[in-house]
Amino acid sequence: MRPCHASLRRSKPLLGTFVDIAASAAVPSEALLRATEAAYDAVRDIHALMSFHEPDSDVSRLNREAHAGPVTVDARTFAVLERAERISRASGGAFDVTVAPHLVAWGFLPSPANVPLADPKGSFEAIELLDGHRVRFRVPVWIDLGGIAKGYAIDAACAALRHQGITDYVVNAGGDLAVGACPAPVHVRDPRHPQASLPIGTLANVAVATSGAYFAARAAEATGRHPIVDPADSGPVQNLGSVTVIGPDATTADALTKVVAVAGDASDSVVRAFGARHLRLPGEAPAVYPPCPADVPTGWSTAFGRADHA
Amino acid sequence: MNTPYAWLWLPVAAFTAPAYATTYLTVEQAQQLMFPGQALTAMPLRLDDAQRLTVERTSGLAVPHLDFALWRVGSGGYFFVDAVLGKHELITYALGVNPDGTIKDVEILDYRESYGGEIRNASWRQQFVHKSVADPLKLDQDIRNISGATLSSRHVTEGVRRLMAIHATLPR
Repeated sequence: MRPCHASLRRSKPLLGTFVDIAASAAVPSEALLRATEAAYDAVRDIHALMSFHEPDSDVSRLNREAHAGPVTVDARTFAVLERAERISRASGGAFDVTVAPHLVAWGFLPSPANVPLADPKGSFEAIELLDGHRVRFRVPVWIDLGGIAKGYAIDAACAALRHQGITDYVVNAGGDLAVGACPAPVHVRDPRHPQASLPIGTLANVAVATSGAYFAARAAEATGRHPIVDPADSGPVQNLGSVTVIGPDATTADALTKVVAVAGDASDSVVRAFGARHLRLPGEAPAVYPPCPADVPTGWSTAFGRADHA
Repeated sequence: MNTPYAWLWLPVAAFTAPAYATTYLTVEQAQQLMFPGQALTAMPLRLDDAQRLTVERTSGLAVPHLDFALWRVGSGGYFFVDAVLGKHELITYALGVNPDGTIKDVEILDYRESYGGEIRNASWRQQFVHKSVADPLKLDQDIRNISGATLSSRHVTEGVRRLMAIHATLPR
C-alpha cells in the first residue's frame, strides 16, 4: 500500500455546512488548488440547481410549474430525480422527495413562494420523468432534494477531482463523505456523545453517509422534531439515533440513510440491492458504550472487493 | 503566525481540550488563491464606537471585538481574516471582497471543536494526547474522517455578514 497523505486540505462553507476536500497527487500545489477549485465549482452548481430556497433553482421551478406542464431541467437535476425514483420504488416509498410540505409545516424549510398548494395524497409517483430531461408532476407536489442532493454534490466534486487527474481524495460535506482510491480511516460520530466516534474501517472508493437525530438538534430543540419524515404516516421518525450507510457512491448512500431511518433493519435487502451496507447506532444513551463491531471493517472492505487495502 | 492576526488565537483559552481540529490553507495561500499575483497590504482595523454601532445596526449582529485583520488588495478589493466562536467550535476563516464590493470567496483556515467533559472513546481521545491547540494537525496523521460530524456553517455565514457590514464603512 502506497503512503498517501493529503498534501492539500481545504474547507468552504457550502450547502449550509462545511465542504472539506483533502486531495493528494504528485503535482504542483497550484494544480491541486485548481483541481479543488473545480470540485467546489461543481458543488456550487449542484446547490444552485437543487436548492429548495433559491427561487431560480430547478427545484423551485419544478415546484412552481411542473404541475402545469413539462419543465426542462439540467441533466444533473434529472439524474438525481432518476436515482431518487429508483430508491423510492425499491424501498416501497420509504424514500420520497415529495415530503417537503411536512418539512415546511414543521419549520425546517421556508414556505415556497408562488407555488400551488401540494396535493396531500401526492407522492413520488406523481413525478413523471420524460425524455429531453423534462419533468412533469401529475398532481401538484413540493419536492425537496435535501435527502439526496448533498450526496450528489459530493459525487460531483469527486468526479471533478478525477477529471483533473486526482484520484486520492476525501470529500466530506457535513458528515457525508466519499473516499477516493487511497484508503483512509473512517469513523462514525456517536449520536449521543458527539465528542466520541466509532472507527468503521480503512476504506477506499466508497461513500459513507450518516443521518441522525442529532444533526438537527437545534431545530429539534425548537420543535421537538427532527427532519426525517416517515412517508407512511407523515410523522417524524421516532428514536432515530443515527443511521450510517456505506455505499459505492454518496448519492445512493445519502438517500439510503433515510430508507433505513424510516424502515429500520427491514430495509437491509434494499440497502444491499444497491451494493451498500448499513449501521445503526442507538439514540438512547447506552448503558455500555457499543463496541466497534469487529467484523464490520473487514466485512465492508471485502464487500466492496477491497480487502487488500485494509 | 504574523503579528497582525495573533489576537485571533486568544479565544482558544476558553476551550478545554480540542476534540476535533483541522488546519486548512494558510493566510498566504488563501490570499494567493483569491488574489493571484496581487500585492496585499496589511491595514489592521480598529472600529470606533460609532463604527461599531453602524455595523451592528446594518448587520443585525453583535460585534464581539473591535480589532479586525484586514488587507488592502493592490488592484482594489479587501481581504479579511476573522474568527467566529460557536457553542462548541472556533472557526478561523478568510473573506475576499472584490473591488465592486461583492464577495469574492470564503475559505476556512482553521476549525477547532470541543465538547469538553468526559471523552469516552479512548482511541478517539488518544489522538489528542500531548497535542496543544498550537500544534499543527494533519489529515491521516492526527485527524480522522468522521461521518455524521454534521457541522453548521451558520456562525461563519453570520461572520461574513458582519465583515461585509464593516467593509461597507471602508473607503473604496
